[in-house]
Amino acid sequence: MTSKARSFRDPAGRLFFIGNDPIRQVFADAAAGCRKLIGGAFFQDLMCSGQVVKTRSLVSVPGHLSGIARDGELLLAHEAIPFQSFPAEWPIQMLQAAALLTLDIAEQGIGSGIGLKDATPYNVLFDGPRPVFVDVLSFEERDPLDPVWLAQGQFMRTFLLPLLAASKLGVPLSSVFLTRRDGLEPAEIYRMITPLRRISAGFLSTVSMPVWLSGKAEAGGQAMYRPRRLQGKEQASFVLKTLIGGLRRKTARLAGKGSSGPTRWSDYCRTCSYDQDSFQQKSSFVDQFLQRCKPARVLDIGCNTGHFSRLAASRGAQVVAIDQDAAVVGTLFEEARARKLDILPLVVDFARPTPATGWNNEENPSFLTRARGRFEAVFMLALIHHLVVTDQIPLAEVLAVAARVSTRYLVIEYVPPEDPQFQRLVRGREALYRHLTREHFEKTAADFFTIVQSSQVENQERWLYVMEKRNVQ
Amino acid sequence: MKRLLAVLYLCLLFPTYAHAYSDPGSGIMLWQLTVSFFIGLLFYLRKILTFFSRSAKRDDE
Repeated sequence: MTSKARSFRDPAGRLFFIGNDPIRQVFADAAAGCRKLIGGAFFQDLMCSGQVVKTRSLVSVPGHLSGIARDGELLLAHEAIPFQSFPAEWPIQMLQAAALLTLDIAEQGIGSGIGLKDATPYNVLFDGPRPVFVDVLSFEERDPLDPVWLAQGQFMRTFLLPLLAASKLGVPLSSVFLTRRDGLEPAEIYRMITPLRRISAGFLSTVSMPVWLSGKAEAGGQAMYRPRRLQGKEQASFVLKTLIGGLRRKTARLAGKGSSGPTRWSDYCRTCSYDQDSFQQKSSFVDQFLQRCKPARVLDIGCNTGHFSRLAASRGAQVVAIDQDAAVVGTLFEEARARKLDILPLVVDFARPTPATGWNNEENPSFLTRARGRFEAVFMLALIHHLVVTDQIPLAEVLAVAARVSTRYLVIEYVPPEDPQFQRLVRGREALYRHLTREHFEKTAADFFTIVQSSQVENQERWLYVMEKRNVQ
Repeated sequence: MKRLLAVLYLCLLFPTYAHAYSDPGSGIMLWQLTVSFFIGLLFYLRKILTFFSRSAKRDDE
């Protein structure tokens, strides 16, 4: 529960959370315009189609905000998005989906005289694999004679250029969004590419032309930003629609292809040590758990191709699936979106989860802050050896964090030091991990969990466990 | 001492620029305006073409 503003950059209002419920305070100057927008057909249509978050105005001030709201202001309640995620955690496909939604809304608004005053990925959240535009204060009335979309520059910096860098140059989106609030400048990409590439179709108009013109633009000063008006509405609308259409084509072309190729994990299912029978056995062990315990929210850590996330979603759970490999997460996103599965796939390395970022480190809470106490079940399947060996995290630490994130269950796979996959990671340091026997694993787990069920994987020394947190009755 | 002077001389050769008040997005804006201008012209060109194609049709009838 909180009454501290989490979104405050917009001079028109602020966003608060009461528990998980977002409440937006719209200041008096913007209240009338916002009320008109929300009551209008344009906004209502966007809400009905699910493109914009469901929003209603509040008649009475909630107790926690009574000291904050003033006369003449408007308070809006938004439908809560189950799990917040940020662009640093999205694969290319998700940033692309958020970009296309932003463009769709900007284009639909032209006919209704409404525009977007900003265009950033932080205006979009994902409900499962479905992008939802959440920043209601981004809408503004437009002069129908105005042919300029001022937020286009921001769209380029925060959507198009990071997509270009990620898909053509292999720059991870996390490295862009964790270190910068406002995306990439054309000059940054310009420095990364060869002279020949600078004049190629993919980079010329998006990167090179803006860089070549920047000197001239700087010399011109602020005159460039003066309002411009055309003779007729029709011409202004034609210019805007053509510009947005161009941006859409460029964005759509950058679909998660390019440098991704086969990664260490995208071909994991084919190379890992499971044969078909034992995989089937593992799958039915997890499925039985899902049917018996019916967890409403599941976190699948190290989801890989997402087999167990799909299983959980098909049994009615709301799933957040994380993996450090953007390629597998992107593929899972595409599948979840196409098949309408309630899975939110995110690029998160559980050994180094997304840190808190933004002003005062409070604008975007860390992954663990968001995850803590959110999930009735946590899956850690074929993961423990990666955390213990590759990331050198003590087993007790891994289980302690699992117990903080889960409210009740942990479904975990024990991988012994003799396992071929374990051996692959050890690289001659066997002595360090010899103590990780099954007895040691169970004894360490007992500090946090009670073992509810266990089963040995056929033809292997691996074991599967369903555990329940100790303090839950 | 000589080495120190050489380093100082090298530093003068590569001055660092302060970008605190520059507008890095201005290139995007100018390019956007340029493209908009040509799209604006295209609008009239389309109108002219539509006008001629319509009158050509009328002549055919």
